[in-house]
Amino acid sequence: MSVSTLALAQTLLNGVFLGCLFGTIALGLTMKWGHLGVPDFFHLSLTLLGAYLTYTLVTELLWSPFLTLVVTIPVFFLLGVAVQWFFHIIKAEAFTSLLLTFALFIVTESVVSMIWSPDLLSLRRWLSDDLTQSAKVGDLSVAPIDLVALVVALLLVGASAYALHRTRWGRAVQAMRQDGQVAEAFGVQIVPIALVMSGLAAGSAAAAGMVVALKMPLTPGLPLHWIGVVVVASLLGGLGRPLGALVAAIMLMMIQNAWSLWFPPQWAPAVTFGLLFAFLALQPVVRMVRDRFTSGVARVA
Amino acid sequence: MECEEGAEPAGDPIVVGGSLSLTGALAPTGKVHDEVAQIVVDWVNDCGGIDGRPLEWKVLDDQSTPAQVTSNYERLIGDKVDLVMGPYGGAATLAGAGPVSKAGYAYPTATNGAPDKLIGDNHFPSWQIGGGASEPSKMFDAQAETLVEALESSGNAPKTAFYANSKFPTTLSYGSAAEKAFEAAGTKTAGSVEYDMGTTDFSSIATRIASQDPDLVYLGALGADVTNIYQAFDAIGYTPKTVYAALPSPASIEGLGDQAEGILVSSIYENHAPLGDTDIARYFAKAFSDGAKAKDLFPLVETQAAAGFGAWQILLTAVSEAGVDNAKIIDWLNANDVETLAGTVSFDGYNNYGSDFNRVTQVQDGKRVLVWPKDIAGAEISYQP
Amino acid sequence: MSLDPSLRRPLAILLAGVVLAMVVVPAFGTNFQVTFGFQFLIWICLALSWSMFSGNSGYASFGHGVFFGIGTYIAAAVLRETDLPFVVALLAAGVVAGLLALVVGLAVFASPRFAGDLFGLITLAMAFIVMTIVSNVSFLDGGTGVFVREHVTDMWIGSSTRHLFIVAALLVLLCGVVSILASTTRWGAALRSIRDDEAVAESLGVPTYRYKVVTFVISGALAGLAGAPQAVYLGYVEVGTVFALTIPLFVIMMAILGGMTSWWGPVVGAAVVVTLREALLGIGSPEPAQVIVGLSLVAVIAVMPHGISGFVSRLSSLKTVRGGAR
Repeated sequence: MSVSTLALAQTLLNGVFLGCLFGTIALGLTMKWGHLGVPDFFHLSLTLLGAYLTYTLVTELLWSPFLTLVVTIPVFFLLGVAVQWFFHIIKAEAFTSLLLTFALFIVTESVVSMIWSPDLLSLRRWLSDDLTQSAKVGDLSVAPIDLVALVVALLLVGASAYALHRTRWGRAVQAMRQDGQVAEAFGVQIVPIALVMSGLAAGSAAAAGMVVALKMPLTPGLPLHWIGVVVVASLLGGLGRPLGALVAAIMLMMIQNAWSLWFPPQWAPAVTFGLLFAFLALQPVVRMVRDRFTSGVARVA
Repeated sequence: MECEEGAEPAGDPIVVGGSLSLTGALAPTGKVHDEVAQIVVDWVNDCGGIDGRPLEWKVLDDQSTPAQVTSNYERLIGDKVDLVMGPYGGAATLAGAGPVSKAGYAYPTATNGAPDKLIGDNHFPSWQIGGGASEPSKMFDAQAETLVEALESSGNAPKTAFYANSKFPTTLSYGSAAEKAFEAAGTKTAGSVEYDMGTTDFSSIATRIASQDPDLVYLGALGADVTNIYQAFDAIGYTPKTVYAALPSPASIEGLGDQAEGILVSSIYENHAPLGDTDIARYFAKAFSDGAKAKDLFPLVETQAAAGFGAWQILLTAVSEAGVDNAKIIDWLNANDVETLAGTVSFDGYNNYGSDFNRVTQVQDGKRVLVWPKDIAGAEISYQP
Repeated sequence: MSLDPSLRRPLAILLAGVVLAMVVVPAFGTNFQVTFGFQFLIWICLALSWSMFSGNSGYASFGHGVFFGIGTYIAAAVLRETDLPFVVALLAAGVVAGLLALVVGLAVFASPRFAGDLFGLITLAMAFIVMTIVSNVSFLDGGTGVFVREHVTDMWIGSSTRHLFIVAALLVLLCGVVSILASTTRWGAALRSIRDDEAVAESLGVPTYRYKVVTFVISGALAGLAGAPQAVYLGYVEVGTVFALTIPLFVIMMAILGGMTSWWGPVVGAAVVVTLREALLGIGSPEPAQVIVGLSLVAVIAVMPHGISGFVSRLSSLKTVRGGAR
């Protein structure tokens, strides 16, 4: 099937925007996983909760979706701190924390279904045309909602990367991850940092949830569809690296979309993950080749 | 079914057991069927019960997992329920068929999405889409033919069609039968793709469709697919000429608002004349609407609620004729027809699918109305690609 | 190889338990008890086979459901395409799942980069890839699902759930034996040294690569074997339900809840989760039931961070300490 360059450009652009959304969701996950050492699946549930809360605030109180952030972000920050405090009290280790996040994941799906509805809820009708009508940039169509996703992603990821690398707090976080005990000896307070980090991650979930509510209809089982991309993007981009996760998510979505344009879309997941596999598998080969060419000495991979 | 107002049923209850997906991915529709069951049971008991005995509904949640369905029916049968009502969905129906058939119970089902998988003589489906076909491979042809005829009746048969089907057994079967039927009728296939169930990003598919601009977009859609694909259409600024959606959730159609105007959907029932013009239909529509609103479910009676109600009509009609005896019920139903909300059901075809309830609904002026076949239509199809 | 005394007791307990179950349940149990028992045994197999590798080596695999699922589909394909007896389908399921684990294991464990979390990623990616392949290759599924029941109604395996129960019990025996061996012999010690510090283990001469690959293959093969009776039990298999992500999540939960310090931990974990879920089904409120299950698990793990078996072994070691220090 012949496909024009325009169609390709359009679908790649859409991939970028979708990658921005997943990168925002992945932000909290990668930060907690990389710096606190726990893959927090509950983060996905928090994002879902953020989306449903945004839905209620927009449809019941008729707020603008952006206004809801004023409420949801602080509330979620506190929620994140509370959850982390609970983990701290019960002295949860890695595997235990994993189990806990799974359990909470299951609980959230049912809670959401009970409080809101098991059926899909779509925010679309309450959104003003400004948000839903696509604008033309050259020959490409851009939906305002997607621009929101882009802006939110850049803001949050940018702020996280900046905080991580250019503030004292950020350096403390990095130190904590590299060697906790030594960091403590130097005065880094691990527990408060962990609490704040958890709160910030939860706050980012609130923002990501708002974008989700804008972009897609909500069902309680939505997070299960995100696990794949979000986890892969986090790991691929390097745990604890906000920019890495965002870039990885964007790349994954662009590949998926490009494939779906030319080839059967139903193969897209296999291709995307297969490429990931190949990328990881070839890493040692790439390194070995690079080593041979640079130092002339073969190093054990 | 006759009704003796005010009579109090007394004595041993007649227990009908069933497994439904009350949690998990299939919960929205599972809950519709649970609501239908409760309405029927309350109604029967308000009317004096069956032979004076009260009717009782015992339901277990199968968490949208077929493996749990088997276990649930074993549990219910082990608890000695008198009768059994089928679950929701093809995989669940087939999972439950094992224990139910072995124990000799009649197995009425609402929407069994795998009609081509043989269950047996004790299977009594109310979602009659087979149209009397006698071979499993032909089970989905009738619904495809119905759509082709419906579009032809508008005078503007589509010259091109693009097919996008969710990778789910029922929608795939629908889609391939439709593609065959349309090609035979002269509609060229502009493209045919499949997508994973639960896909939320349709941008590539929307782009493909937009580049072909077909007269008909055939969506083998489930659940929220329609909402998501329209979002993708909006994002690229494309308005499709006409869309047909196979099995979308009613909430997703409603959620489109004005954009839903003209959309076509497969259906067996909508609540208007002539089918909706009976006392039973009116009572059921009101009861369902009240109950559904209280539980945040879609409040109109359409395919799912109608099929669920029909399944109960099948079961209870047989009980009133043959008594609370599964063997006699099975014999009676195999030899008789039953009047249900969606029409007269007969069990003469393959897998007991004897009737043809394949119909096409269109959203006109914000309302869902049947437009084909003519004998049950509430309005004429409006199709101008 | 004469039996090490430390092996004799757990093996005897396992054998006694399985034989008892095999004799009592199919003979005296109601249909529901047999059905419930069958599913319970399958979960035990999955939890044991996951813990045997991931619990001992510290490499948490998120893709265990894939081996189970591919076993289900291979068995379904054999039953559908051939007239061979169920045993063939069973063995094919185990072999193919083992082969998949072999291919993945050989590639992944070759590089030390793929330790810990990255390994989890690989297994998750593998899961999605296999799901997509099965969903699109019509020999396996192709999207329309496979109706297994019509092919097994005439066979021994398909004629009664009691026969499925017997097969499952034998599989539990196998998984149990392997788990006991993996936890009490040098094999287990080698795996746990990998979990504690792989570099040190390697430098001490433990052939970590070989151990990881072999154990991973066995773990996958066992899960694949469990898939075969499951295919018969379901009667109709479709990709969405067979490869549901909740399955590996629950397997991990059962193993962690039961505790991975003892070989029988996952068995207890499976028992708790399965019984809890079934018991709460009857309370009449489906969603609160799920919430209660989740919160109960949170409560249990909060009190017993090392799982139930960890808690029990701490209790018994406390007793010996108290008894000794008089």
